[in-house]
Amino acid sequence: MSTGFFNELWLSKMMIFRGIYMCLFVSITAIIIGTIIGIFIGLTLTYGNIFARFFARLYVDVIRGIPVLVLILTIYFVLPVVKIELSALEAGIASLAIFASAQVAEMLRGGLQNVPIGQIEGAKAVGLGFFQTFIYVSLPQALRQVLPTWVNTAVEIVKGTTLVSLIGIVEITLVMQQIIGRNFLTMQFYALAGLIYFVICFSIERTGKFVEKKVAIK
Amino acid sequence: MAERVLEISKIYKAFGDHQVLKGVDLDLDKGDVVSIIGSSGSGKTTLLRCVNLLEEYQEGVIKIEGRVIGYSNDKDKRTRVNNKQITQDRALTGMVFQSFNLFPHLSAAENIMLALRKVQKKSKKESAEIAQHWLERVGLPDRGASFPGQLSGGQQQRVAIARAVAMNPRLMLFDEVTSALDPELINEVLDVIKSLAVDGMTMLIVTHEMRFAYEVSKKVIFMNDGVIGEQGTPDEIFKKPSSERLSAFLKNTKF
Repeated sequence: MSTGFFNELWLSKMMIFRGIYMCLFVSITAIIIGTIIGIFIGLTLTYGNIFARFFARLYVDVIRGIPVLVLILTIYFVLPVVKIELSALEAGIASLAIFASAQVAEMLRGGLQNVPIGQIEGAKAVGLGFFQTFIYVSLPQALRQVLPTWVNTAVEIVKGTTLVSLIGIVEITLVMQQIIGRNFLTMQFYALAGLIYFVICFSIERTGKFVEKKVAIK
Repeated sequence: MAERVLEISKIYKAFGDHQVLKGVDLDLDKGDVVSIIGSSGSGKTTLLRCVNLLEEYQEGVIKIEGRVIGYSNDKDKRTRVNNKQITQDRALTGMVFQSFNLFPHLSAAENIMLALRKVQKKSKKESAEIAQHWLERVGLPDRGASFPGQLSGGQQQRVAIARAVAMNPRLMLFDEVTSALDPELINEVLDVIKSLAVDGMTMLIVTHEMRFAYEVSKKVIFMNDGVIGEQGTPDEIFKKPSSERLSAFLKNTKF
């Protein structure tokens, strides 16, 4: 690489840091909100009555059937028609959170339903009530099963933040485009973008693997 | 007169159109050990699960220490009591399953302590002491920190027994507890149950181990097609079966 690249890198370092910050801020916020909503919907899918289950199922299937980009564009450009006007940042986070919530809901339902019936009966037989059985028996086993998939979703969300550049959020990808527009070092700065995404995603995956091992059932 | 612990009268239970229990009566006094034998599909496991309220039944009454459990008869209408009451009624009995059903994410000691702490609201220290006491009783004094996956089947089943008796139930229910075990592990589990019998624990045991049933029981019940086909002392049942069905059943089982 030429000295020109490092010079340009130095000049644009603050922009890049702000881009990384924006990427992480959007990702983390979306994952947290998405997980919280997803848990409620997942519980509805598992324990809700038939009507609640129907609407939860509808939500999950519809969201999972829509590309994230379409979700982003819809929330940013179509919702204002019904007078729901979100800033680009709000719309971006909301879209990714909604996407994540459907994933989380589905994986939690799967995890809870995979807990063997014998576990539930064993819990009942020692006198645990429904809620205690859920907290101390079903959930700990379901969470262990869900963890790897949840980490996958987190990585998907980080990669999904590239898409919010299209509604003008200055995250890593858009920062790079702006820098390249100024210095035409196309290959170098896109490679840098790839490297940054890789480091973030790889760290998440390794952390996930580490936690997985820590809590693994012996 | 001995204290009556369990009173089952005229239990009828169907899964859909299939009538599994067709009017079963059975009483157990304090300290009684009663074994239920019979071919699969005869309803013996279902009967046990009804006593532990894991199954609903359409007719009949089950009383523990004189009190009706599971159902109420307010205004002449038979209704299942609410979940909270079910949970409380269920706590009167301890149950051990064929497939152990230990919680895999908890250690042996934690398996025993969970309900002591969360149901009986005992302190952590007291629960740990009770757990250790029962682990010693079932011959596993130094396996408290082991997880179920690190124990053999026989050891897991012994922990499961410890978990159930630690709750101090009025009645213990054993549902084919050795059926999932390798032959060489069966005796260690049966020995634990025998020692509980010596202690005077009231027990209702569904089993395929005829010699064990013969040795441990005060009374043996032969279930056949949803009813009690024959009942009596172990000697009467195993040595002098009076019905043809029981003779045929015994001929096909090893003793």
